[in-house]
Amino acid sequence: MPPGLTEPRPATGASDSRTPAWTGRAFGIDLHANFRAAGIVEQAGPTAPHEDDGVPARRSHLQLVSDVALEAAWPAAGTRTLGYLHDDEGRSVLTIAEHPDAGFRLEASYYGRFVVSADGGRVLCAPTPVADWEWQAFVVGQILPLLVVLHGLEGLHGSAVSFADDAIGLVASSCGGKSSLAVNLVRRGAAFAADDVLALERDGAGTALHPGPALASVRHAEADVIGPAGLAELGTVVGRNDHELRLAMQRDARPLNLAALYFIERAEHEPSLTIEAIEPDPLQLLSGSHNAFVRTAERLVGQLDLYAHVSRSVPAFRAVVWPGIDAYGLACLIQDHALQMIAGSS
Amino acid sequence: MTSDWDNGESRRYPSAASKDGHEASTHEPEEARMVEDTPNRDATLLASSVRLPEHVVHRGFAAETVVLNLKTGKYHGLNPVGGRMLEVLEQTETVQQAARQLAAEYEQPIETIEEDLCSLCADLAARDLIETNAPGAD
Repeated sequence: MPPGLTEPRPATGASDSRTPAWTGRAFGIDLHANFRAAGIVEQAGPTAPHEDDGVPARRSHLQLVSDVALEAAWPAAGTRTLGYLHDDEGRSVLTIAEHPDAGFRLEASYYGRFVVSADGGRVLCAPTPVADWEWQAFVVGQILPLLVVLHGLEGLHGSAVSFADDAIGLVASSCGGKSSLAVNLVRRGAAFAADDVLALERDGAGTALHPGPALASVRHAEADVIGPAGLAELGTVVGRNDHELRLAMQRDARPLNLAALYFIERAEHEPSLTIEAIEPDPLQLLSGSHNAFVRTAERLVGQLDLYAHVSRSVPAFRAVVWPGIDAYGLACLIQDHALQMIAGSS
Repeated sequence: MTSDWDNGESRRYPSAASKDGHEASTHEPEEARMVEDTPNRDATLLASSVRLPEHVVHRGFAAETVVLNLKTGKYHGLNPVGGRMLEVLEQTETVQQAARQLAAEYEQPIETIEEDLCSLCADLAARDLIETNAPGAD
C-alpha cells in the first residue's frame, strides 16, 4: 500500500459499497449512497421516493471507499490542478484537480479526498477520520454544488425559504447573516429550502429553485438567541464545532418557483431597514456563482443564459439592514414584504 | 451604472461613448471604462460589416448587456445603448446601415451615431469581441 494511504475508516451506517442502500434528493439530484448521511441520504432502500414525480432524472451515486480504491480510480498522469485554497499560514487546505476523462478530484486536508466523475454520476468519498457530520458537511458545501453544475443547473451563493410553492432567495456576502435569516424565517412559519447554495434552473418563463440538503448551519451566537426549545422545534442537531452547529431540518425536496431574490446588505449608519426593488447587477449574479472552476464553454454560456433570465424575470430587492436589528426582527420584515409581493403577483 | 432609459414616449439618447461599462471576471472582478469619449468616424469602418466570432456570446440582462469572451472567460458590460448598438450591428450589413437605423430610433444626428458606433466597434475589436470586414476584403 502506498505511504499515506489507509484502509477505509468505519463509518456510521456504511454498507456494502456495491449496494446503494440509502437515497435522498438534494438540488434536484437523486442521490444514491452506500452510507447514511443525515439530511442528505437517509431514506432506506435503493429507489428514491421522488423519481416518478416528473422532474427530469438526474442521478448521482455516492460511494464511501478506501483511500486505495480512490487512488486507483484517479489517473496518475494527464491531470491538471485547477486551484488551491490555503489557510492563513500558507498551508494547503484544498486542492482541486481535473482529468478530461476521470473528472474532478478534491483533496481537503481536514475532510479527505473525493473524486467526482466528469458527468457527475459518481462520487467516491475517502474521508479522514473526522466525525461523519464534518466530512459530510464538505460533501454538502463542495461536492454537491459541483454536482449541481455537472448536472446542468447553476448554484448561486444564498439561502432560501418557501411559502407554499414560492421560494425567496436570500443573498448576502459571506457571514452576512443569510443562514440566520433563513432559520428565523422558518421559526416564523416559512419552509426551509436551502442553506448556502441555491440550485437554479430555467422553467419556462419562470425559474425553478431545487431545495438543497435538509441541513442548516447555525452560528452559536444565533443558537443561543434561539434557545434549546426553539432549536428543538427547528430540527435535530447532528453536529457542532467551535463556530456553529449543524441542524437537520424538515424540508420538501420538490422544486419551487423562485419568486424573488433579496440581496441583504449591512449598513453602518442606516437608522432603519429599507427594502427597495432593484435590477440586479449582472456581476453580482455571475460572481455569486458557487462554482468557479468548471469553465467549459457549455457551462459558461448556460450560466450566462440562466442569470440573464433571472435578471429579467425574477423580482429582486435590496434590503439594507441596520446592524442593530436581530435576525428574527429582520425575518419579520422580510416575511411581510415577501408575502405582500407574492400575493401581489398571483 | 444606472439605466438611462426614459419610460416616456421617446428614448433619450445617452451617448454610448460617454457611459461607463464594466468588465468582470469570475475570478477577478474589475471595473473598466468600456468606451472612451473619442469622436471618430472612420470611413472604412463605416463601410465594413461586423460579426461576432464564435467565441463570443452576449445576453441581455435587466439593466445591461453582458458580452462573454469564451477564449478569455471574461465578461464585458454594455449599457443599454451599447447593447442595442451591438444588436443592430449584428442585424445589418454595414456599420453605416446600423448607424442609419439607430439614428432613426434615437432621433439623433447620424454623425453623432456614427462617431459612437465607430468608437464602440474599436473598443469591441480591441477586446476581440467583434470582427470587422472591410469592403472587398473577402
